[in-house]
Amino acid sequence: MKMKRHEQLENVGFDMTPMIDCVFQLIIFFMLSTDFANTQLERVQLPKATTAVEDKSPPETRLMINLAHVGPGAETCKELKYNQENKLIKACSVEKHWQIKVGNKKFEPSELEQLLSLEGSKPPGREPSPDGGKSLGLSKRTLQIRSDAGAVYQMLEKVFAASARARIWKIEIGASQPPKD
Amino acid sequence: MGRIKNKGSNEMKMDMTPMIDIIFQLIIFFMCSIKFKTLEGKLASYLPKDVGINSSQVANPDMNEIRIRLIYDETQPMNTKIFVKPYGADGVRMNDWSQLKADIAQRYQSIVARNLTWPFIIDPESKIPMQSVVYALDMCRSAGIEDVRFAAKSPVTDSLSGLGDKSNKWGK
Repeated sequence: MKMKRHEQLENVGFDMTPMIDCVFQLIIFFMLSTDFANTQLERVQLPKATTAVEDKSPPETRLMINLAHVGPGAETCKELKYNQENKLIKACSVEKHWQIKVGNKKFEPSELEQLLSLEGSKPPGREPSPDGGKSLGLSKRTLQIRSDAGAVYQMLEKVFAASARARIWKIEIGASQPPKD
Repeated sequence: MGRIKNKGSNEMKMDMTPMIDIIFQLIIFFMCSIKFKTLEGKLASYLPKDVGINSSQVANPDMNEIRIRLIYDETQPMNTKIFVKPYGADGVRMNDWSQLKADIAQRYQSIVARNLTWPFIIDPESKIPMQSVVYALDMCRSAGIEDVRFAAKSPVTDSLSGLGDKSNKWGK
């Protein structure tokens, strides 16, 4: 008697687990990298201040200027040394070692005034000018300056002067809390 | 002849792979988020409202103000000479930062007691590092002073455009 051959039916399943793993990895990667791309924050070593308040929920209209020590040859310079209550502070006064960045774009100090005048007029705008429009009114925008602790004041002075002429008067200085001993 | 029943192996093996995957995911997530969580701080300050449009020299630089002048001097142990100059008086030399802190607090108390609203102007020389500028600002803030301003030279006229006066050479 001829026996019927039982063909074994194999359950061919598709294992979704590795695919889901990979998809999650990609989602996390793109989430994080997108966050980096949007950030306005340049890598700077902020000055320490005990009274610095946490920068919670900053206004969307806030302008941010980064002053970073990234010019060619900047890695080894910081030639000025200061003793601040027995703590050594290194600073650099070489102008070409400093880079002014606003929203990932580099600017020369001479371009700042024009940029800040334009930016200062953007929403929420300016207060009415006291001389009937002949000069700029006070800007309602806030400017945050994130400067490296080793930047010398001559760099900051340029930002302040440009900001004052652009009639931006609300200034925030980026600072970090000193480590608790 | 009795057939040997092949029982087969019924060992229950737990597949660790998804768990390890998830743990790695969590490790990566927390690593990244902890790095982000180092929130930055800020110190609010203001530039004078009534300047910026007029680049003429200020007639009387001795306004009603307290001016904190920081001067770079590499021969000094601190590399910085600190002077405090109140209205109508000569600059007083500070020996160190702690003396400056005490002096600022004392002057502010005196100003408040007299119902005055003099600003404190931080006037650093061009070679003073940002850390020292912020340190002086921090001292003013610790003393409770709200109106702290910065002095800056106008690059257009090389004179004061109201941000502060650098023409007077006191403290040198």
